[in-house]
Amino acid sequence: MLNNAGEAALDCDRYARTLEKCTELAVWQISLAMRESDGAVERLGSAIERMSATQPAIEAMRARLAQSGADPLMVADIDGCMRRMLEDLAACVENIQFYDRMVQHLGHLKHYLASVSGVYAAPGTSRAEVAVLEHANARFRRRLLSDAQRSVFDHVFRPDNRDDLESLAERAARAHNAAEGTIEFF
Amino acid sequence: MARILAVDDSAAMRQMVGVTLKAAGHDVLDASDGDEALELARKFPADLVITDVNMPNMDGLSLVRALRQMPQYRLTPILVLTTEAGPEKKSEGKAAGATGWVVKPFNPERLVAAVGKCLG
Repeated sequence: MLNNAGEAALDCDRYARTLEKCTELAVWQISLAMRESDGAVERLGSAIERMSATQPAIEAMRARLAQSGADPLMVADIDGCMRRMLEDLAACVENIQFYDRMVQHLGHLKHYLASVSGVYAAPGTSRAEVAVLEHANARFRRRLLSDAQRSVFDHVFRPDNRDDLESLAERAARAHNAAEGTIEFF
Repeated sequence: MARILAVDDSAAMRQMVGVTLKAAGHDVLDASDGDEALELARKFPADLVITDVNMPNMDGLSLVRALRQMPQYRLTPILVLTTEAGPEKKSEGKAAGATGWVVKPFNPERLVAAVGKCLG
């Protein structure tokens, strides 16, 4: 028969195991979501490659049509279609890169959660556990991809944090967007 | 037409850099990390290298340093293509010997223009 202290310890142990399982669940759900979309995005990338590869054939067709004395309006239509297709292709190339970025971000988050879940398994706040958490936090921060992601991280860990993180994340992402696509020569 | 070596651990990024530069008439070789890129760079001399920063085995900035040690790549343009936009990382890239810094996601037209500028 357990006394009050024993029951409290048991509850604490059960709570810690549940926390560990919750974290493990998050890790595997992230992993599953990444696996489920990987193949589809690879196929999307290949489709973009094939669409791009048709460009010389369409241009050759247009040249043949123009040389054959076809209606100039028809040739102009092909030019218009071609221009729109190239604009859409450029948008595809630019925007598919956000998937790559999200996957990298989720990958780092997955490793972070996996590394901290072990700490939950052993309740208490010994120096060793705190050190594991601090190490995991530092490594996760290092692996973050942008100043926007790092500013969200820093705000979460700020002791006086009272910010609305949703709007902070939005502001940070907007600030990062301003730098996207920039090219600087040294 | 130039031979360009594109280095990124993400297959989607390699595909998109390839689509963009092939459409502009370049020959594109790709590698998924710095180690693989160095091997390719030795076998097939490239006119320009575009590399990501965070990659397994050998990261992008180590690749830049290693390429700059090779006499045939001392003057070859090397563009770093990364999500990192912070001045510290850029300074690291400059110190490693990179020619320029492109922040992902790249705009295809601007990347082609930057490559053209580097190739003169």
